[in-house]
Amino acid sequence: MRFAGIVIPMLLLFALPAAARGIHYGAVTDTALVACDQLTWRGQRDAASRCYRGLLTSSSSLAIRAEVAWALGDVKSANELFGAAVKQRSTPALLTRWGELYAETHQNSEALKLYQEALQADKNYAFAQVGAASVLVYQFATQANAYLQPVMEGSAVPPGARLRALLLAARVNLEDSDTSRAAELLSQATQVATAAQLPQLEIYALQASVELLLSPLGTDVTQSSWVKKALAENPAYGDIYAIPAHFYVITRRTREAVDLYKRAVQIQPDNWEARVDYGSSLLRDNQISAAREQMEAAYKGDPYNVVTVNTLRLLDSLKDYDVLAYPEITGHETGSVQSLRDQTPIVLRLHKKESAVLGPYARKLTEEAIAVYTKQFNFKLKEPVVVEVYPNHEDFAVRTAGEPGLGLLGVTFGYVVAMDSPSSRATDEFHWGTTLWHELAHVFTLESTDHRVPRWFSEGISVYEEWSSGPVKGISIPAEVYAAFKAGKALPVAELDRGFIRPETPGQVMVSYMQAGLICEFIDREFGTARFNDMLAAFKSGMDTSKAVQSVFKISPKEFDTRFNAFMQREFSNLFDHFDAWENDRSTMQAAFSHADWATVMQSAQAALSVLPNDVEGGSPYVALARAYNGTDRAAQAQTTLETYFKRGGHDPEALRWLATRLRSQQKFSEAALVLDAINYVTPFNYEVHGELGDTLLTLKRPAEALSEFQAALKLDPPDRATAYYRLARALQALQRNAEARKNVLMVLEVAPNFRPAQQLLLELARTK
Amino acid sequence: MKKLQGNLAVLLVLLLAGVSARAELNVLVIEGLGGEVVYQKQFDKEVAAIRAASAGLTSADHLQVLNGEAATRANIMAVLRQWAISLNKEDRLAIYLIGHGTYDGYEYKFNIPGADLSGAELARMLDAIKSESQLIVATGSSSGALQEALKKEARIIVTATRNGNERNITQFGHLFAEALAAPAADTDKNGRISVQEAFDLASRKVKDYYEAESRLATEHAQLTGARAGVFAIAQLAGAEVHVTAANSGLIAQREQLDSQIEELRLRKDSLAEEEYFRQLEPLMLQLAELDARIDAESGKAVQGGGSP
Repeated sequence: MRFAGIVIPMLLLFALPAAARGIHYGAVTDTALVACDQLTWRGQRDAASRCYRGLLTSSSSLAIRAEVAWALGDVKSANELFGAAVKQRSTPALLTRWGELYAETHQNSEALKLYQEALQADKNYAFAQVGAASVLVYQFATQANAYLQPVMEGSAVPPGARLRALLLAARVNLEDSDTSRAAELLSQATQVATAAQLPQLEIYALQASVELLLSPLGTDVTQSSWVKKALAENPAYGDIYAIPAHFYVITRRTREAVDLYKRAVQIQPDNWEARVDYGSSLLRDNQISAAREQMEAAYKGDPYNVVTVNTLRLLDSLKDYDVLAYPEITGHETGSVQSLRDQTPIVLRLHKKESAVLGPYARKLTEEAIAVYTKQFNFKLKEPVVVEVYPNHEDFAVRTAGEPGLGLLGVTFGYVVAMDSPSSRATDEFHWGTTLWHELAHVFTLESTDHRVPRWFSEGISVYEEWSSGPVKGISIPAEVYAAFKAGKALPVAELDRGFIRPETPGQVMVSYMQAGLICEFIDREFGTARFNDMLAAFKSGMDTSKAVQSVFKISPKEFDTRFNAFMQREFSNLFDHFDAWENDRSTMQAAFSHADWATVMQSAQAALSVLPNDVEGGSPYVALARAYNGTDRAAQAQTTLETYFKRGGHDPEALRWLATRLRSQQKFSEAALVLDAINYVTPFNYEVHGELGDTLLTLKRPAEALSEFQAALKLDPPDRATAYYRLARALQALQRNAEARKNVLMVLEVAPNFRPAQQLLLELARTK
Repeated sequence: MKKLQGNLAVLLVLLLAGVSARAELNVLVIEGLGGEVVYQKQFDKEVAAIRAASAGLTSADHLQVLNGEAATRANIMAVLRQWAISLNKEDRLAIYLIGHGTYDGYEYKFNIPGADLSGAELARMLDAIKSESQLIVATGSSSGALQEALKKEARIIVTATRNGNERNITQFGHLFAEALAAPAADTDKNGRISVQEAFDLASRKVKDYYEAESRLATEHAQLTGARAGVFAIAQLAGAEVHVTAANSGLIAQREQLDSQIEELRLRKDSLAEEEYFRQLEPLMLQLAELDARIDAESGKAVQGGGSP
């Protein structure tokens, strides 16, 4: 039921006032109405309001009355009036304006229908084309382009539509970090706007964004001439701060974004979009209470924004989370860690139902990662790291993007890491320990560069660290990614960010992650890990990838690519040369596996492993081979196979449990403990694994660790509670905490009075009393 | 109040376990059609586990398995007709239906070679048997429909699904079969696994399975019948203690001690926790020493649940 209300019912949509009416750039031509609009664009809000009200009583045109109602914030009436106007006489212009109303109230699919209806009536109606492009651009870039191109290139396009198209294209290019192209487009936009005497406020805001992206660190964007120009024209134009703030957000400079959004809502309190983004940025900076305040204010003004609604729901659910601070302190306000910042290096926000079990593991891994990375990056964190773990993936998605449907496992906003809990996915879907390790590397690469590291390098370092220092070591690449590399789909290093930000195919993001990791592996092998810090320093100084590569490696990006490709050939030539046979063996193995055709499984798995011995990801031939050996009563060979698999980073929990059981039966307790511990970083909520690990540790005379495992097992409400308490009592006895041991063993015997091992333990404890 | 009920239940288990042990247990395991090799193999394993568990509680001539071509409606009916003649009121019977079931909205059918066995037919045959202690376990798809079809006072019915509409392949069957040999199922560590204990462990494992897979559970096992906690269906290795001339005195002493412990447990709520454990400890120590002597007399090193 958690998300039952995420899609806002249509009826609610028009129940309250909302979204501001944006600049229409000549899509509306009525002179009286435009006169009122001009007052708005100059920030003369009271005069504009009087002007609109006057029109409301004087104009009989339904279309004008709709525009006026919208301008006055009464979107319900605006919608009804547009509907009535269209019924009276439908025109492409009217349908498009109605579509704009839907777009501004966050209903893109309804808006698109209206734009398309307008284009059916006039396929060249440029404002509808731009409108359609603007609602499609973030999800369906190719379709958006098809709408945008004719407006950009056509000869008889109204200047206002052309201006809107140029602004949209400039924004997209800026988001792609192509500041030169964006600057060109903005220059064209200025010419068009000047010639047609159209408002230029949005041009100024995007120009300020270009400046922001190009300026050295510490530059105060609020002092930009573009900002001053905009405020001189319209002192209440909040977007002059909110639009540049957006570019801080996408370049992960959260705190700078917070400052700009704050200014935006100060000068334009009813800029609800900016207020939502302000709230989201505060949340990313872990300022929970302040974020709620902004979200609540935004909801009052614009209740139709799903991001606001979803975020408020998420904030409500935070009462179900424990905030664990290490070193432990007391008296802090749950939900606000501001007070903790100066006192503690780690804060975990974990769901109450998971915190007792997950907490010790998350803490241990976070502390280890911080120690490793502090040394590796020669950078000491300046603030505590906050790790949030969400048992519901959609909560994590809302935390990250404000909306469900995010395909990520973890995200880092500076010192705040948010990620999926292992319970949010099937056990074979992800290794939570590796995800946390990956995200914590981002904390260092982001913070050590003041968030100037490009996405590809930050991801590359994180992937490299997974392979070299993470809980599961070894280069591990999903099988499908090799196909992309073989097909030459690796991007040039200078363009690698594109693979993350605007992937052209669904698989390109994963390919880019792996490529970035391999580039870091290549750097390590060819130039040494010291170059990582040189690269980070270069990025911190404001260099882009091309300049950083040239500066650090003294070679051109093109030469870097050539050498990287040669590295790839050296590393994977065996695979690339036998790629088809390898793929064929893998699929033969999988087909044979489902029919328990063990002879074929063995043959094809061994052939696949001879080509790619590191194949330990999902569907690994090692696991299939071990099953085949087991299926033919060759347990010793199955064990050897899984030992190799484990050493190479394999982490299938079922396979590892089998291995651990086997190792324990052979008294190889140290090895078994390693295997069982590794399982907990995949699936930490298995009481049996905790129990077995505790038993193993106790045998190894490591009672304190054993006790921790037995406590974790008990927290998971095991069905055999007598055994769980008995184990606890044994660990306590080993720690010479005999009084506690005696109480626990009596609790066992209370439910299982004839439980012989517990009876024996009680007798032993009585003898040492 | 909850604690008192729990303790009474423990007491009843102790008393009734003895009664149940003396009554004859008659077991019929029916293995249905697998349809696919993978399911047939799974059913074979389940049947083997149930057969092994039952063999520890009853003699070979009271344990029958119908599988493959022999698992026909006629053969099943023949066994049940025979039981209708031979079994007495105090005899116990256990029927395991291992295989797929179907439900058309009206009637449950168990899939076997030839004509399927319907829930209504099974109910009629069971009603004709005098035995008052009847256990039916159906581990396959749609088996929940049997809860209504076989409903009768004192009859214990275990089904893998909540009703006939849960039609997907189930995990419950193999997990229930595995529970019959799992020390973890024996939560009171008396060496025997009751229907309730096996059901509890298997149900928990079903829940764990769907959670681990991040899938919506398509099966919800059901158990009805008040005596599920005292109907033993498996005995763990080494748990059996035979009363002999040498140990009968000790066993009598243990029964007396059990009563004292139970009496204390019934008073638990009226005592401070510390005082309760202070009084419990000497009794448990006596019991431990007594059990050790009984084991020594019986030639056992450690029994009664063994090592976890």
